[in-house]
Amino acid sequence: MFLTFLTSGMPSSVGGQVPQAVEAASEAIGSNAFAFLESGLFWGFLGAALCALLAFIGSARGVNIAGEAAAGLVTEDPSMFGKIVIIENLPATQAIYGLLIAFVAVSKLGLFAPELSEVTLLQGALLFLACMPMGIVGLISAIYQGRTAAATISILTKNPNETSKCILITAMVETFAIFALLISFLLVNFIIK
Amino acid sequence: MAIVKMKKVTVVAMAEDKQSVLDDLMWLSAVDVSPLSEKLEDENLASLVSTDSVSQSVDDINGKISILSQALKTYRQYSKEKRSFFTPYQVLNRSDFEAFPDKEEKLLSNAGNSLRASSELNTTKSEENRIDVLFQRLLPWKTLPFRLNEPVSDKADYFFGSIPVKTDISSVTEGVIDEESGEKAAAWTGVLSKDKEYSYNLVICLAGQEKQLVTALSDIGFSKISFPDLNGTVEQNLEILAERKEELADKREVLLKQIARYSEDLSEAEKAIDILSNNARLTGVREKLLNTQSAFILQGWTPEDRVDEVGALLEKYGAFFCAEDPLDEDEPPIKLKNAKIIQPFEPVTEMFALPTYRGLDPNFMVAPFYFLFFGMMLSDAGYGLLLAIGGFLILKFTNIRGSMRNMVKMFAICGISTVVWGFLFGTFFGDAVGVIASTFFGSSLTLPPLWFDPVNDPITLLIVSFVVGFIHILVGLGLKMFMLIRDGHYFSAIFDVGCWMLLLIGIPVVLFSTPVGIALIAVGAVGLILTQGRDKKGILGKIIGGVGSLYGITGYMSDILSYSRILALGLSAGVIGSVFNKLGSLGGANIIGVILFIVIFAVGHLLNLALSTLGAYVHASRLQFIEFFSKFYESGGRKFDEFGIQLKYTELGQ
Repeated sequence: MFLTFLTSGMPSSVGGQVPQAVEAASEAIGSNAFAFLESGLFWGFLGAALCALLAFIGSARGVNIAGEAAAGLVTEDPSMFGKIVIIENLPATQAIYGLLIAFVAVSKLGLFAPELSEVTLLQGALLFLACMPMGIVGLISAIYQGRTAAATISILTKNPNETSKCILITAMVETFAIFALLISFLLVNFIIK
Repeated sequence: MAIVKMKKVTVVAMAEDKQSVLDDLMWLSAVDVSPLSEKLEDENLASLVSTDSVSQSVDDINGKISILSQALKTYRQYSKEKRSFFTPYQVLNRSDFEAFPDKEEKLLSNAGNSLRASSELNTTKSEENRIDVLFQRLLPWKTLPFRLNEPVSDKADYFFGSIPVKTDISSVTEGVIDEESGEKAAAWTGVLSKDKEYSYNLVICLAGQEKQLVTALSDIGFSKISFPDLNGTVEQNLEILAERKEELADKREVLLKQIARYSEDLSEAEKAIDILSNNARLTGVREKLLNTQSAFILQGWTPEDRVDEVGALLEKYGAFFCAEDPLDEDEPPIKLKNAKIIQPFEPVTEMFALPTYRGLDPNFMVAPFYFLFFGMMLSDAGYGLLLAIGGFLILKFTNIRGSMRNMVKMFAICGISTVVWGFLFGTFFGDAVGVIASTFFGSSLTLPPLWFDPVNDPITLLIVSFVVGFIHILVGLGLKMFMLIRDGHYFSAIFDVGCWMLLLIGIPVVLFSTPVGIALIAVGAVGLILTQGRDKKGILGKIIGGVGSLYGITGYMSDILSYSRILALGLSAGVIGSVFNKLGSLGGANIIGVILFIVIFAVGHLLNLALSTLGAYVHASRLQFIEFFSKFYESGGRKFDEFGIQLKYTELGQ
């Protein structure tokens, strides 16, 4: 019973979201409702979406953690706002990197071309994997960077002139997001020419 | 490119000349005065000499500064003169310092008055607010026929309150039973006024039944309102409040005029703060001197090339003066002197730490590599032009100075590098040239890269990054070697550094000529194995120490891999720019499309410029600090802090 429910519900609900992707996928579906799992495009788009999603969540949390600390300092000394806002926003870069990888991935899948690309299941699965370093590292590093930013903001409460040191300490965490960006970019770039 | 050589100067002059000697030295701005008070710990000396106790007078001056600084905030708010980045600084001359004592009293009393006036202004404003609120609360009850807080008569009382406008309260009041008599409560209700949400009701009842009525009414949303502090009718109260409001408004106007008049002191107050803070320094420095009965002693550091000026100044007073080279145990303060083009990069090194006096000023190498890395990381000709032109305009038209000015200069210079790399990689605001040409003009024009396009060929840029990083690290090792040779540690220079250099150079050489490369690696490795265990005890210990040192190769490898961030940041700047171009071009080639493109282009690229510039700044610095400085840099110097005029709001006249 449950399976029949799934088979009737699944294709139409997914079809509402990404018509082209599913059109390509549904050709292979036939009677099997899970056939979209065998579509390379599905895995490719899933990777891109997850990459953006995870990195965005990470940045949101990171900026939030830093922002809470920032608000505390700005309460005491509103003139620090300009300096603080830079540090608060450092964990936002992961979102940009996630966006970047997702964007490169979907353009590889042909989203901006007249037609979607021909993607094999293997290519799609690899593309999914390629997106993961940026997504997962983006999520985690942004949160850690947010905590570091919050800690450096407490340096600023005592030494208001040490902004650049605070920026550097916080930016050290970002190194690893940059490496994730690098590896994801290289992988995404080489899976589909 | 160097750390300025320092001389230790000692001055002995007559006590009666003290004030003028110190004043002249401050205007000369050439001596970093060292505190001598620690010499007083020596008991023999302590019986002969003393120091001035100046904290009281410094505190007095600081108190004045703090009053003026507070007043300055008010002045800035209310003065007609406005201060911004474009306002030129006022000129302050030595004559202003001399004339200051005559003006001081007037300025301070004005500052005090303006502070009092502005605090009174705040009280007036909050009083006005309070009255406004009360006025609004009273207004619905204007027609209340009774005096507030007085019963209607011996037997009747009244109360009033608001209730949501659609509720009828008379049905509820009729149902209330008096507990004592068991009879129905008698109440008359009437609506005094209404607004969108509430109706304002008056209830007249028998004395003693108020409580029960209120309880019953509150169930249907009635909230009782009272004005416990007021007497008389509401209408009388409203009249009084309106009068009071007018009085306060008049008072506020008067105060504002007063403050505006005091605010004309803005420029004078700025000058005064600068003069006073220098006077505080002039007084405070006396604590660092030693006094005998008729003379005083001053010791400090002076840059070698300014010793003569100091000498000439002191000769006027017939003072004893000598300048010696620093002893080995001395730690002279650090003043860096670099070519004009290198100097803007000094803050990068300073942010890490200053070199030691006997170390090495790394700026002559930091500057070119920083220039290179920054350009490669931002690598967009459009952004580079914005940075260079924007930086130039800021330097030309704004009043920024000090370290901010250096910073802007550095970004402007790095902008040039960014332009060069932008054209090498074919990026101008991402792929704006291609997108604009194909979307709006239907042509296939693009900006061809002069070298290669990193988006299509990232591996080439990865290799270029590693090569640049490799050279950077070798330069670092080279500087270490130079320092060791300069200090006479030849053995260390050859084996601790030279062997590593051979080994590292051997690795890429293998790719071109295998035997030569392997020979270099072998020589380097054998050298390391033979020498790196030399501090260990026993043959076995020496061998293990030597072989173990080869493990250091992992450190070099991870250092070099770290330079891959150049590729990552370069790509992210370029690709994000292209993403915005792509989004902008989705509107197509019509009027709306053009507007959409312009908006997305402007906002998107501004955002990307800000983020990528911050990224390039931070990570180009990081490559210096962690990968480069770890190879050779000896940090920990104290900054040369000359005893001289320091100005915050003004600039010195010629």
